[in-house]
Amino acid sequence: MKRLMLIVSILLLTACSSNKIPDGFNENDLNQKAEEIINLLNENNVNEVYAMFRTDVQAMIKLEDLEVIIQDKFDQVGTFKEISQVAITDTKDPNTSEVYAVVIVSSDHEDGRTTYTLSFNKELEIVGFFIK
Amino acid sequence: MNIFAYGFTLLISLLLPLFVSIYLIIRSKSYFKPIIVGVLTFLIFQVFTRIYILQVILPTQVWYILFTYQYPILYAFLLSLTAGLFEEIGRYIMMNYVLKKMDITQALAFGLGHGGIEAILFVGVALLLTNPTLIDTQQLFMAGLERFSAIIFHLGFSVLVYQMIFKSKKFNLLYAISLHTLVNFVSVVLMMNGVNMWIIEGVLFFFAIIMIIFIKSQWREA
Repeated sequence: MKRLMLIVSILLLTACSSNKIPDGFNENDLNQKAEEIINLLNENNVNEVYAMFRTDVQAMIKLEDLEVIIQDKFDQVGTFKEISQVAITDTKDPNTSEVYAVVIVSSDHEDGRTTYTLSFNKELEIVGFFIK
Repeated sequence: MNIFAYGFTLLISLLLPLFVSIYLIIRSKSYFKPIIVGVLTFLIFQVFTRIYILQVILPTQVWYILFTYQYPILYAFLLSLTAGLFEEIGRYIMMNYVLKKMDITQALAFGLGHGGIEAILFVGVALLLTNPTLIDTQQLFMAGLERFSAIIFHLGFSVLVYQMIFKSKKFNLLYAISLHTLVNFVSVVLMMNGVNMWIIEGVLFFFAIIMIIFIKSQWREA
């Protein structure tokens, strides 16, 4: 049992600290893109972020609905202060097996925190967007 | 066909738990407390603790999101394990410290309260709020089948924990946690590997049948 706990702890700690940049992606490009998206959202330019969504992802959500989601979140957490943490990993589309880069960004606001999970294809189009 | 699937799922996830609970309470007042405590157990140990932690607190943590992507199997296992730990230990605490005294039929009533409120909150209420023509018939039917299996599991796990407390079967809590973890983990891993949902529901239903056989055997012994 102690050994199991140790293995789980090591895996958790490893997961906490390791960035995993998938082949064909550049860490700086991903960081810059994520930062650009966060800044656009905080400047209320949701339509510009929406334009970065891949066409099939745009078909899943309307711009107006995305604007409401973003506004609701910002109403809760207040004015943006700074990006506090960024991590990158990879994932695979279960249907097409296409590899995506996932950039997780945590940003501090006056009354709370926002965590974005942004997935990109190699053209740096947004293929996944979660805000918590 | 859609109306049949809707009716089936509504029956399993709303009408059956509700009406069986009312029927039991009318038949004997001794079922009232176990059913209500079963409902409270689910609300306290799942909705207000585990689900709150998993859906509100942890998803804001970068390390947690990273972990879900980098170790999906371990993540699925930990999710399953926490379901087993929270719900079975919750059952143990509530039976031992709130109910204090019960027989096997009251343990089943407790399980009905626990599994029933889960079915009502996760599926029943959603069904009432959704236009049934917009839901895929197969998914609708599968939701009902899954809730049926889940309620049976709750009845069985409640019997196991009851036996640990009141029948001195000291390993039963461990069995309940392990079985709960196993059932959840198997279904999640099958899902992650793209296995057909009917097969997954079939596996769960198979486990549920085994649980029914177990409950019947324990009932006869009691």
